[in-house]
Amino acid sequence: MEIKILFTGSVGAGKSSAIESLSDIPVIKTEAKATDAVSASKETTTVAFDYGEFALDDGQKIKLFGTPGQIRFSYMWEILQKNALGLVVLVNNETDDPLAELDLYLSEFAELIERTSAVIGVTHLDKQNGPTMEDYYSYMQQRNIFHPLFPLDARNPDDVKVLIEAMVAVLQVA
Amino acid sequence: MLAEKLQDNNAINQLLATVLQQCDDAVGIFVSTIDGLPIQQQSRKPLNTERLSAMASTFISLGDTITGELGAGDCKNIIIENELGVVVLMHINESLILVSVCSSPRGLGMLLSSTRLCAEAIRNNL
Repeated sequence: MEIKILFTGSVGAGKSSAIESLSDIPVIKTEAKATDAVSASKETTTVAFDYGEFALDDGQKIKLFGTPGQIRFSYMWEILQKNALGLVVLVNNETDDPLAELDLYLSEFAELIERTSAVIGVTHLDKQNGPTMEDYYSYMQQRNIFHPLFPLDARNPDDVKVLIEAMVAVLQVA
Repeated sequence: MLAEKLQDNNAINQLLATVLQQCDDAVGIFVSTIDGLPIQQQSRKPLNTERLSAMASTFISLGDTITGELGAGDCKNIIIENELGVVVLMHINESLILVSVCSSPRGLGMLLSSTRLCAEAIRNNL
């Protein structure tokens, strides 16, 4: 069985970096020059999808798809979530309201999460005055959300692997 | 930001209007940023350029990715021939896309040539 995992989340959260850090093949990217506020933090932005592949220790191949972050590309979210077996939500802790962004993606992908499962990764935790991991845990507890939650550096393959392994573990239990 | 900066550019507006004047079958034409934000449009019927601009950005990027994978040079334009007409998407420059739509399946030649001239004129006007 082929496993398709979808990465979504805020602009600049590290979706492309996470897939790139983990993929065993050259990542297929569809990037365009950023012309809006995003250009202040990065030169390009994903406008269709990222695609990579990753093999687990037992040889199981996992297909990694990344969505664009901006809501204007939400039609791609609908396309990309077809046949996905799990969702990774990455939250950029440097945005103005990262908890609201988490809420947005959990709500936009509610159907997929209901059908499969989700893990959440928080990036850029070094921001001063931003929410802490404890804030995220409390936030999720208050809303009865019980997905695995991890801090991570999306450029670090070991960090991303932890997310994927948590996802696979959840899928095996389900 | 680029989209806001060009939204009131009269020269672009005039150049888009010219395509509609030249092509009887042209239904609409619009300029968007390469990352999917609408800038200006001229059309004979309402077009949801908020959504279409994002889609055009996706499509052009896929074209660039495919031609890159094939080592086939830059993607110049993408033509979608459909049952009820033709859609042409092309780069204006590294930041802008031009998309034109016509309602006749036989309108490709005229639409393509007018859209190319329009893209070139916009490029020269910026």
